[in-house]
Amino acid sequence: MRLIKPLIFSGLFLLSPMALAKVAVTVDQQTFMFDSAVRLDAVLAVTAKERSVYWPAAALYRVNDADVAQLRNTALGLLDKLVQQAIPEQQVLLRQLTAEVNSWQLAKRLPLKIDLDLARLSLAANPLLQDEQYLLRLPTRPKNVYVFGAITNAGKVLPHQAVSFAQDYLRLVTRQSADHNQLTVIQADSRVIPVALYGSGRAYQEIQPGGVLFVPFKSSLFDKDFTELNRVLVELVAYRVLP
Amino acid sequence: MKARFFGKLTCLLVSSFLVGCSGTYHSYKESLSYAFNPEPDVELTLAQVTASAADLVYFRQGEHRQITLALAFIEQGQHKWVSTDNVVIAMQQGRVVRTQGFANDLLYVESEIADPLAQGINIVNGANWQSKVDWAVDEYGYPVSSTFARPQPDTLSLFGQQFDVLKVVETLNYDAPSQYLRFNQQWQNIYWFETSSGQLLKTQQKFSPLQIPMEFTFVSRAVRLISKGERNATN
Repeated sequence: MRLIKPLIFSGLFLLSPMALAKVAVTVDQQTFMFDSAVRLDAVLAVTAKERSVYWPAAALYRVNDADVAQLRNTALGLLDKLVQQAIPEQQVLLRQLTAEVNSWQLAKRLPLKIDLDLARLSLAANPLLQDEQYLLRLPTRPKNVYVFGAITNAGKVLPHQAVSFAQDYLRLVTRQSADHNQLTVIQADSRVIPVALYGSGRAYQEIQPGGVLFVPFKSSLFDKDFTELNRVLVELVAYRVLP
Repeated sequence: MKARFFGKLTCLLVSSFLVGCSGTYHSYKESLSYAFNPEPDVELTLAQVTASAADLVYFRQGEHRQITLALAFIEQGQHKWVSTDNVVIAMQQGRVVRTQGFANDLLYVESEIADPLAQGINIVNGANWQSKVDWAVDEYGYPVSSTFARPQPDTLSLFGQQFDVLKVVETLNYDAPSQYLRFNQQWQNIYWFETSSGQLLKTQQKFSPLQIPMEFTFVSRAVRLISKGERNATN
Protein backbone atom coordinates (compact mmCIF):
# COMPACT_ATOMS: atom_id res chain seq x y z
CA MET A 1 0.00 0.00 0.00
CA ARG A 2 2.86 2.36 0.86
CA LEU A 3 4.41 1.85 -2.55
CA ILE A 4 1.28 2.63 -4.52
CA LYS A 5 1.46 6.43 -4.27
CA PRO A 6 5.12 6.68 -5.39
CA LEU A 7 4.38 4.24 -8.19
CA ILE A 8 1.43 6.31 -9.34
CA PHE A 9 3.46 9.53 -9.30
CA SER A 10 6.36 7.86 -11.16
CA GLY A 11 3.96 6.61 -13.78
CA LEU A 12 2.42 10.04 -14.22
CA PHE A 13 5.88 11.58 -14.59
CA LEU A 14 6.97 9.05 -17.19
CA LEU A 15 3.88 9.84 -19.20
CA SER A 16 4.33 13.62 -18.84
CA PRO A 17 5.27 15.70 -21.93
CA MET A 18 8.74 16.50 -20.55
CA ALA A 19 9.59 12.86 -19.98
CA LEU A 20 8.39 11.89 -23.48
CA ALA A 21 10.13 14.80 -25.26
CA LYS A 22 12.71 13.64 -27.77
CA VAL A 23 15.25 16.06 -29.11
CA ALA A 24 17.19 15.51 -32.33
CA VAL A 25 20.16 17.73 -33.07
CA THR A 26 21.93 17.43 -36.41
CA VAL A 27 25.51 18.61 -36.75
CA ASP A 28 27.30 18.10 -40.06
CA GLN A 29 24.86 15.36 -41.14
CA GLN A 30 25.30 13.48 -37.89
CA THR A 31 22.19 13.37 -35.71
CA PHE A 32 22.38 13.20 -31.93
CA MET A 33 19.24 11.94 -30.18
CA PHE A 34 18.30 12.92 -26.65
CA ASP A 35 15.51 11.01 -24.91
CA SER A 36 14.30 14.01 -22.98
CA ALA A 37 14.50 17.80 -22.97
CA VAL A 38 18.14 18.80 -22.81
CA ARG A 39 20.08 21.97 -22.03
CA LEU A 40 22.17 23.58 -24.74
CA ASP A 41 25.42 23.14 -22.79
CA ALA A 42 24.86 19.38 -22.67
CA VAL A 43 24.30 19.35 -26.44
CA LEU A 44 27.42 21.43 -27.07
CA ALA A 45 29.50 19.27 -24.72
CA VAL A 46 28.78 16.30 -27.00
CA THR A 47 28.77 18.04 -30.38
CA ALA A 48 31.50 20.66 -29.99
CA LYS A 49 34.01 18.32 -28.40
CA GLU A 50 37.44 18.49 -30.02
CA ARG A 51 36.23 21.03 -32.59
CA SER A 52 37.83 24.38 -33.17
CA VAL A 53 34.59 26.35 -33.42
CA TYR A 54 34.36 29.95 -34.60
CA TRP A 55 31.68 30.85 -32.07
CA PRO A 56 30.44 34.11 -33.69
CA ALA A 57 29.25 32.03 -36.67
CA ALA A 58 27.76 29.21 -34.61
CA ALA A 59 23.98 28.95 -34.93
CA LEU A 60 21.06 26.81 -33.79
CA TYR A 61 18.11 26.40 -36.08
CA ARG A 62 14.66 24.92 -35.59
CA VAL A 63 13.87 22.68 -38.55
CA ASN A 64 10.49 22.57 -40.33
CA ASP A 65 9.27 25.95 -39.23
CA ALA A 66 6.18 26.95 -41.22
CA ASP A 67 6.99 30.70 -41.06
CA VAL A 68 10.20 30.18 -43.00
CA ALA A 69 8.52 28.36 -45.87
CA GLN A 70 5.85 31.07 -45.95
CA LEU A 71 8.48 33.79 -46.20
CA ARG A 72 10.27 32.05 -49.04
CA ASN A 73 6.94 31.77 -50.89
CA THR A 74 6.38 35.49 -50.37
CA ALA A 75 9.80 36.26 -51.86
CA LEU A 76 9.24 33.93 -54.80
CA GLY A 77 5.80 35.41 -55.43
CA LEU A 78 7.25 38.91 -55.52
CA LEU A 79 10.02 37.84 -57.84
CA ASP A 80 7.52 36.20 -60.17
CA LYS A 81 5.39 39.35 -60.23
CA LEU A 82 8.43 41.50 -61.01
CA VAL A 83 9.55 39.16 -63.79
CA GLN A 84 6.20 39.74 -65.54
CA GLN A 85 6.72 43.51 -65.48
CA ALA A 86 10.46 43.73 -66.12
CA ILE A 87 12.50 44.48 -69.22
CA PRO A 88 14.32 41.42 -70.69
CA GLU A 89 17.66 42.29 -69.10
CA GLN A 90 16.09 42.54 -65.68
CA GLN A 91 14.05 39.37 -66.25
CA VAL A 92 17.25 37.35 -66.59
CA LEU A 93 18.54 38.72 -63.30
CA LEU A 94 15.25 38.18 -61.48
CA ARG A 95 15.05 34.57 -62.72
CA GLN A 96 18.63 33.99 -61.56
CA LEU A 97 17.69 35.41 -58.17
CA THR A 98 14.65 33.13 -58.05
CA ALA A 99 16.92 30.12 -58.62
CA GLU A 100 19.30 31.47 -55.98
CA VAL A 101 16.54 31.84 -53.37
CA ASN A 102 15.23 28.37 -54.22
CA SER A 103 18.68 26.91 -53.62
CA TRP A 104 18.98 28.20 -50.06
CA GLN A 105 18.63 25.73 -47.21
CA LEU A 106 16.36 27.57 -44.80
CA ALA A 107 15.54 27.05 -41.15
CA LYS A 108 14.45 29.28 -38.29
CA ARG A 109 17.51 30.56 -36.52
CA LEU A 110 17.03 30.86 -32.78
CA PRO A 111 17.87 34.37 -31.49
CA LEU A 112 20.56 33.07 -29.20
CA LYS A 113 24.32 33.44 -28.90
CA ILE A 114 25.74 29.93 -29.26
CA ASP A 115 28.84 29.70 -27.11
CA LEU A 116 29.90 26.72 -25.02
CA ASP A 117 31.54 28.78 -22.28
CA LEU A 118 28.60 31.16 -22.02
CA ALA A 119 26.11 28.28 -21.93
CA ARG A 120 28.02 26.65 -19.09
CA LEU A 121 28.07 29.83 -17.02
CA SER A 122 24.78 31.57 -17.71
CA LEU A 123 21.28 30.10 -17.61
CA ALA A 124 20.09 32.83 -19.99
CA ALA A 125 22.49 31.46 -22.61
CA ASN A 126 21.61 27.85 -21.85
CA PRO A 127 18.00 27.23 -22.89
CA LEU A 128 16.19 23.94 -22.55
CA LEU A 129 15.70 22.29 -25.94
CA GLN A 130 12.58 20.13 -26.07
CA ASP A 131 10.61 17.97 -28.41
CA GLU A 132 11.96 19.35 -31.63
CA GLN A 133 14.35 18.81 -34.48
CA TYR A 134 17.30 21.16 -34.51
CA LEU A 135 20.15 21.93 -36.82
CA LEU A 136 23.35 23.09 -35.15
CA ARG A 137 26.09 24.78 -37.11
CA LEU A 138 29.52 24.72 -35.47
CA PRO A 139 31.82 26.03 -38.17
CA THR A 140 35.53 26.66 -38.08
CA ARG A 141 36.37 30.25 -39.04
CA PRO A 142 34.56 30.68 -42.38
CA LYS A 143 36.72 31.57 -45.35
CA ASN A 144 34.03 33.21 -47.47
CA VAL A 145 31.33 35.83 -47.63
CA TYR A 146 28.17 35.54 -49.72
CA VAL A 147 27.13 38.44 -51.94
CA PHE A 148 23.67 38.41 -53.52
CA GLY A 149 20.92 40.59 -54.86
CA ALA A 150 21.13 43.10 -57.71
CA ILE A 151 24.35 41.67 -59.17
CA THR A 152 25.07 39.67 -62.30
CA ASN A 153 24.22 35.99 -61.66
CA ALA A 154 22.35 37.11 -58.52
CA GLY A 155 24.68 35.41 -56.07
CA LYS A 156 28.40 34.91 -55.59
CA VAL A 157 30.62 33.37 -52.93
CA LEU A 158 33.81 35.40 -52.44
CA PRO A 159 36.85 34.84 -50.24
CA HIS A 160 36.68 36.82 -47.02
CA GLN A 161 39.13 39.72 -47.13
CA ALA A 162 40.96 40.79 -44.00
CA VAL A 163 40.76 44.44 -42.97
CA SER A 164 38.28 45.25 -45.73
CA PHE A 165 34.98 47.04 -45.92
CA ALA A 166 31.68 45.96 -47.42
CA GLN A 167 32.13 48.33 -50.36
CA ASP A 168 35.47 46.67 -51.22
CA TYR A 169 33.58 43.55 -52.29
CA LEU A 170 31.67 45.57 -54.89
CA ARG A 171 34.81 45.62 -57.04
CA LEU A 172 34.44 41.85 -57.41
CA VAL A 173 30.83 41.83 -58.62
CA THR A 174 28.88 43.63 -61.33
CA ARG A 175 25.88 45.50 -60.05
CA GLN A 176 22.72 45.44 -62.14
CA SER A 177 19.57 47.49 -61.48
CA ALA A 178 21.16 48.15 -58.11
CA ASP A 179 20.68 50.87 -55.54
CA HIS A 180 24.08 52.57 -55.53
CA ASN A 181 23.48 54.41 -52.27
CA GLN A 182 23.40 51.58 -49.81
CA LEU A 183 24.13 47.97 -48.96
CA THR A 184 23.00 45.66 -46.19
CA VAL A 185 25.39 43.46 -44.23
CA ILE A 186 23.98 40.40 -42.48
CA GLN A 187 26.74 39.22 -40.16
CA ALA A 188 27.35 35.54 -39.47
CA ASP A 189 26.12 36.18 -35.91
CA SER A 190 22.81 37.41 -37.44
CA ARG A 191 23.20 41.17 -36.90
CA VAL A 192 21.68 43.17 -39.77
CA ILE A 193 23.61 46.37 -40.53
CA PRO A 194 22.57 48.95 -43.17
CA VAL A 195 25.61 50.53 -44.84
CA ALA A 196 25.29 53.95 -46.47
CA LEU A 197 27.71 54.39 -49.36
CA TYR A 198 27.46 58.15 -49.84
CA GLY A 199 26.76 61.30 -47.93
CA SER A 200 27.16 62.20 -44.31
CA GLY A 201 25.98 58.77 -43.16
CA ARG A 202 28.69 56.98 -45.16
CA ALA A 203 29.87 54.00 -43.17
CA TYR A 204 32.90 51.76 -43.20
CA GLN A 205 31.63 48.37 -42.18
CA GLU A 206 33.57 45.12 -42.21
CA ILE A 207 31.89 41.82 -42.95
CA GLN A 208 32.33 38.94 -40.54
CA PRO A 209 33.78 35.73 -41.99
CA GLY A 210 30.71 33.80 -43.12
CA GLY A 211 28.67 36.99 -43.40
CA VAL A 212 26.36 38.08 -46.20
CA LEU A 213 26.35 41.23 -48.31
CA PHE A 214 23.01 42.13 -49.88
CA VAL A 215 23.05 44.52 -52.84
CA PRO A 216 19.54 46.01 -52.92
CA PHE A 217 17.58 46.77 -56.06
CA LYS A 218 17.02 50.36 -57.06
CA SER A 219 13.55 51.36 -55.94
CA SER A 220 11.50 54.49 -55.75
CA LEU A 221 8.47 55.90 -54.00
CA PHE A 222 6.43 54.89 -57.06
CA ASP A 223 7.85 51.40 -57.22
CA LYS A 224 6.97 49.72 -53.95
CA ASP A 225 7.47 46.18 -55.25
CA PHE A 226 11.27 46.49 -55.34
CA THR A 227 11.24 48.16 -51.94
CA GLU A 228 9.24 45.24 -50.60
CA LEU A 229 11.50 42.71 -52.37
CA ASN A 230 14.57 44.27 -50.75
CA ARG A 231 12.92 44.03 -47.33
CA VAL A 232 11.76 40.43 -47.76
CA LEU A 233 15.13 39.24 -49.09
CA VAL A 234 16.98 40.68 -46.09
CA GLU A 235 14.51 38.99 -43.77
CA LEU A 236 14.70 35.69 -45.65
CA VAL A 237 18.49 35.45 -45.95
CA ALA A 238 18.71 35.57 -42.16
CA TYR A 239 17.11 32.10 -42.26
CA ARG A 240 19.64 30.80 -44.74
CA VAL A 241 21.59 28.05 -43.03
CA LEU A 242 25.26 28.95 -43.16
CA PRO A 243 27.06 26.42 -45.36
CA MET B 1 -6.58 81.30 -2.66
CA LYS B 2 -4.40 82.11 -5.67
CA ALA B 3 -1.32 82.47 -3.48
CA ARG B 4 -2.01 79.11 -1.84
CA PHE B 5 -2.41 77.49 -5.26
CA PHE B 6 0.82 78.92 -6.63
CA GLY B 7 2.58 78.03 -3.40
CA LYS B 8 1.52 74.42 -3.76
CA LEU B 9 2.44 74.41 -7.44
CA THR B 10 5.88 75.79 -6.63
CA CYS B 11 6.39 73.06 -4.01
CA LEU B 12 5.30 70.43 -6.53
CA LEU B 13 7.66 71.74 -9.22
CA VAL B 14 10.62 72.03 -6.84
CA SER B 15 10.12 68.52 -5.51
CA SER B 16 9.77 67.12 -9.06
CA PHE B 17 13.07 68.76 -10.04
CA LEU B 18 14.69 67.26 -6.98
CA VAL B 19 13.37 63.81 -7.91
CA GLY B 20 14.53 64.30 -11.50
CA CYS B 21 17.97 65.35 -10.33
CA SER B 22 18.38 62.65 -7.74
CA GLY B 23 19.31 59.95 -10.29
CA THR B 24 21.97 62.15 -11.86
CA TYR B 25 23.12 63.41 -8.47
CA HIS B 26 23.37 59.88 -7.16
CA SER B 27 25.52 58.65 -10.03
CA TYR B 28 27.69 61.82 -9.80
CA LYS B 29 28.10 61.23 -6.09
CA GLU B 30 28.96 57.59 -6.76
CA SER B 31 31.58 58.57 -9.38
CA LEU B 32 33.19 60.98 -6.95
CA SER B 33 32.98 58.35 -4.26
CA TYR B 34 34.83 55.81 -6.45
CA ALA B 35 37.49 58.36 -7.43
CA PHE B 36 38.30 59.25 -3.85
CA ASN B 37 37.51 55.88 -2.29
CA PRO B 38 38.11 53.25 -4.94
CA GLU B 39 37.40 49.70 -3.91
CA PRO B 40 40.57 48.02 -2.76
CA ASP B 41 42.41 45.36 -4.72
CA VAL B 42 41.59 41.78 -3.88
CA GLU B 43 44.54 40.36 -1.93
CA LEU B 44 44.38 36.76 -0.75
CA THR B 45 46.44 35.09 1.94
CA LEU B 46 48.56 32.04 1.29
CA ALA B 47 46.03 29.99 3.24
CA GLN B 48 43.11 31.27 1.17
CA VAL B 49 44.83 30.42 -2.11
CA THR B 50 45.84 27.00 -0.82
CA ALA B 51 42.31 26.26 0.33
CA SER B 52 40.76 27.15 -3.02
CA ALA B 53 39.43 24.14 -4.92
CA ALA B 54 40.10 25.91 -8.23
CA ASP B 55 43.31 27.50 -9.40
CA LEU B 56 43.26 31.27 -8.97
CA VAL B 57 44.82 34.17 -10.80
CA TYR B 58 44.91 37.87 -9.95
CA PHE B 59 43.60 39.94 -12.85
CA ARG B 60 43.85 43.66 -13.40
CA GLN B 61 42.78 45.62 -16.46
CA GLY B 62 44.47 49.02 -16.78
CA GLU B 63 43.94 51.09 -13.66
CA HIS B 64 41.00 49.05 -12.41
CA ARG B 65 41.13 47.17 -9.16
CA GLN B 66 42.73 43.77 -9.00
CA ILE B 67 40.23 40.92 -8.85
CA THR B 68 40.47 37.15 -8.78
CA LEU B 69 39.62 34.79 -11.59
CA ALA B 70 39.14 31.05 -11.17
CA LEU B 71 40.24 28.35 -13.56
CA ALA B 72 36.96 26.88 -14.76
CA PHE B 73 37.96 24.72 -17.72
CA ILE B 74 41.06 23.22 -19.29
CA GLU B 75 40.27 21.98 -22.77
CA GLN B 76 41.76 21.92 -26.25
CA GLY B 77 45.03 23.34 -24.97
CA GLN B 78 43.35 26.34 -23.38
CA HIS B 79 43.01 27.48 -19.80
CA LYS B 80 39.70 29.30 -19.32
CA TRP B 81 39.60 31.74 -16.43
CA VAL B 82 36.25 32.99 -15.19
CA SER B 83 35.15 35.96 -13.06
CA THR B 84 32.21 36.11 -10.65
CA ASP B 85 30.23 38.03 -13.27
CA ASN B 86 30.92 35.39 -15.95
CA VAL B 87 33.65 37.14 -17.91
CA VAL B 88 35.74 34.42 -19.58
CA ILE B 89 39.37 34.76 -20.62
CA ALA B 90 40.89 31.87 -22.58
CA MET B 91 44.66 31.58 -22.54
CA GLN B 92 46.85 29.37 -24.65
CA GLN B 93 50.44 28.84 -23.52
CA GLY B 94 50.25 32.08 -21.56
CA ARG B 95 48.70 34.22 -24.28
CA VAL B 96 45.11 35.50 -24.19
CA VAL B 97 43.44 34.13 -27.32
CA ARG B 98 39.78 34.81 -26.61
CA THR B 99 37.60 36.81 -24.27
CA GLN B 100 33.89 36.81 -23.52
CA GLY B 101 32.20 39.60 -21.61
CA PHE B 102 34.29 42.70 -22.36
CA ALA B 103 33.11 45.74 -24.32
CA ASN B 104 35.31 44.68 -27.23
CA ASP B 105 35.94 40.97 -27.02
CA LEU B 106 38.88 39.27 -28.66
CA LEU B 107 37.06 36.74 -30.83
CA TYR B 108 39.80 34.75 -32.49
CA VAL B 109 43.56 34.51 -32.95
CA GLU B 110 44.93 32.62 -35.92
CA SER B 111 48.48 31.84 -36.96
CA GLU B 112 50.08 29.50 -39.46
CA ILE B 113 53.13 28.97 -37.25
CA ALA B 114 53.55 27.83 -33.68
CA ASP B 115 53.59 30.55 -31.03
CA PRO B 116 57.20 30.98 -29.78
CA LEU B 117 55.72 31.78 -26.37
CA ALA B 118 55.22 28.03 -25.94
CA GLN B 119 59.02 27.78 -25.55
CA GLY B 120 58.82 29.84 -22.36
CA ILE B 121 62.25 30.35 -20.84
CA ASN B 122 63.82 28.66 -23.86
CA ILE B 123 62.61 31.31 -26.28
CA VAL B 124 65.29 32.11 -28.81
CA ASN B 125 66.38 35.72 -29.04
CA GLY B 126 64.77 37.29 -32.09
CA ALA B 127 62.07 34.63 -32.45
CA ASN B 128 59.16 36.12 -34.34
CA TRP B 129 55.51 35.40 -34.83
CA GLN B 130 52.68 36.55 -37.08
CA SER B 131 49.03 36.25 -36.25
CA LYS B 132 45.66 37.54 -37.40
CA VAL B 133 43.09 38.74 -34.95
CA ASP B 134 39.31 39.18 -34.97
CA TRP B 135 37.60 41.68 -32.67
CA ALA B 136 33.95 41.98 -31.65
CA VAL B 137 33.79 45.59 -32.92
CA ASP B 138 33.69 44.13 -36.44
CA GLU B 139 37.43 44.07 -37.15
CA TYR B 140 38.51 40.86 -38.85
CA GLY B 141 41.86 39.42 -39.82
CA TYR B 142 43.98 42.25 -38.40
CA PRO B 143 47.64 41.25 -38.72
CA VAL B 144 49.95 41.47 -35.72
CA SER B 145 53.65 40.69 -35.90
CA SER B 146 55.92 40.26 -32.91
CA THR B 147 59.52 39.65 -31.95
CA PHE B 148 60.82 38.15 -28.72
CA ALA B 149 63.93 39.29 -26.90
CA ARG B 150 66.28 36.97 -25.03
CA PRO B 151 64.92 36.15 -21.54
CA GLN B 152 66.55 38.29 -18.85
CA PRO B 153 66.93 37.42 -15.15
CA ASP B 154 64.57 39.21 -12.80
CA THR B 155 62.81 38.67 -9.47
CA LEU B 156 59.13 38.62 -8.47
CA SER B 157 57.81 39.04 -4.98
CA LEU B 158 54.63 37.13 -4.11
CA PHE B 159 53.29 36.23 -0.68
CA GLY B 160 56.45 37.59 0.91
CA GLN B 161 58.61 35.22 -1.12
CA GLN B 162 61.12 36.15 -3.79
CA PHE B 163 60.99 34.15 -6.99
CA ASP B 164 63.86 33.98 -9.48
CA VAL B 165 62.26 34.54 -12.86
CA LEU B 166 63.20 35.06 -16.46
CA LYS B 167 61.54 38.08 -18.00
CA VAL B 168 60.55 37.71 -21.64
CA VAL B 169 59.67 40.85 -23.58
CA GLU B 170 57.64 40.56 -26.76
CA THR B 171 57.53 43.62 -29.01
CA LEU B 172 54.39 43.68 -31.12
CA ASN B 173 53.41 45.67 -34.20
CA TYR B 174 49.93 46.30 -35.42
CA ASP B 175 50.34 45.96 -39.15
CA ALA B 176 46.81 46.82 -40.22
CA PRO B 177 46.00 50.10 -41.96
CA SER B 178 43.92 52.16 -39.60
CA GLN B 179 40.61 53.87 -40.20
CA TYR B 180 41.59 56.38 -37.57
CA LEU B 181 44.71 58.34 -36.73
CA ARG B 182 46.89 56.11 -34.60
CA PHE B 183 50.09 57.40 -33.14
CA ASN B 184 51.23 54.17 -31.63
CA GLN B 185 51.32 50.97 -33.66
CA GLN B 186 53.86 49.24 -31.41
CA TRP B 187 53.73 48.00 -27.83
CA GLN B 188 55.27 45.37 -25.55
CA ASN B 189 53.91 42.32 -23.75
CA ILE B 190 55.88 40.97 -20.81
CA TYR B 191 56.02 37.45 -19.39
CA TRP B 192 57.74 36.37 -16.17
CA PHE B 193 58.61 32.65 -16.01
CA GLU B 194 59.84 31.02 -12.81
CA THR B 195 63.40 29.92 -13.51
CA SER B 196 63.58 26.35 -12.29
CA SER B 197 60.07 25.16 -13.14
CA GLY B 198 59.58 27.30 -16.27
CA GLN B 199 56.04 28.14 -15.14
CA LEU B 200 54.52 31.46 -16.12
CA LEU B 201 53.95 33.46 -12.92
CA LYS B 202 52.95 36.84 -14.27
CA THR B 203 52.18 38.55 -17.57
CA GLN B 204 51.15 41.95 -18.84
CA GLN B 205 49.72 41.80 -22.32
CA LYS B 206 47.33 43.12 -24.91
CA PHE B 207 46.64 42.36 -28.55
CA SER B 208 46.16 45.79 -30.08
CA PRO B 209 47.61 49.23 -29.43
CA LEU B 210 44.28 50.60 -28.23
CA GLN B 211 43.39 47.70 -25.97
CA ILE B 212 43.60 48.30 -22.21
CA PRO B 213 46.50 46.14 -20.97
CA MET B 214 45.67 43.08 -18.90
CA GLU B 215 47.81 41.83 -16.06
CA PHE B 216 47.67 38.30 -14.70
CA THR B 217 49.46 36.98 -11.61
CA PHE B 218 49.18 33.21 -11.26
CA VAL B 219 48.87 33.00 -7.48
CA SER B 220 47.97 29.31 -7.23
CA ARG B 221 51.07 28.39 -9.21
CA ALA B 222 53.15 30.59 -6.89
CA VAL B 223 51.67 28.93 -3.82
CA ARG B 224 52.42 25.46 -5.20
CA LEU B 225 56.01 26.49 -5.86
CA ILE B 226 56.28 27.87 -2.34
CA SER B 227 54.96 24.68 -0.85
CA LYS B 228 57.41 22.65 -2.92
CA GLY B 229 60.20 24.80 -1.55
CA GLU B 230 61.28 26.02 -4.96
CA ARG B 231 62.02 29.60 -4.04
CA ASN B 232 64.96 31.77 -3.37
CA ALA B 233 64.42 33.07 0.16
CA THR B 234 66.14 36.37 0.54
CA ASN B 235 64.49 37.36 3.82
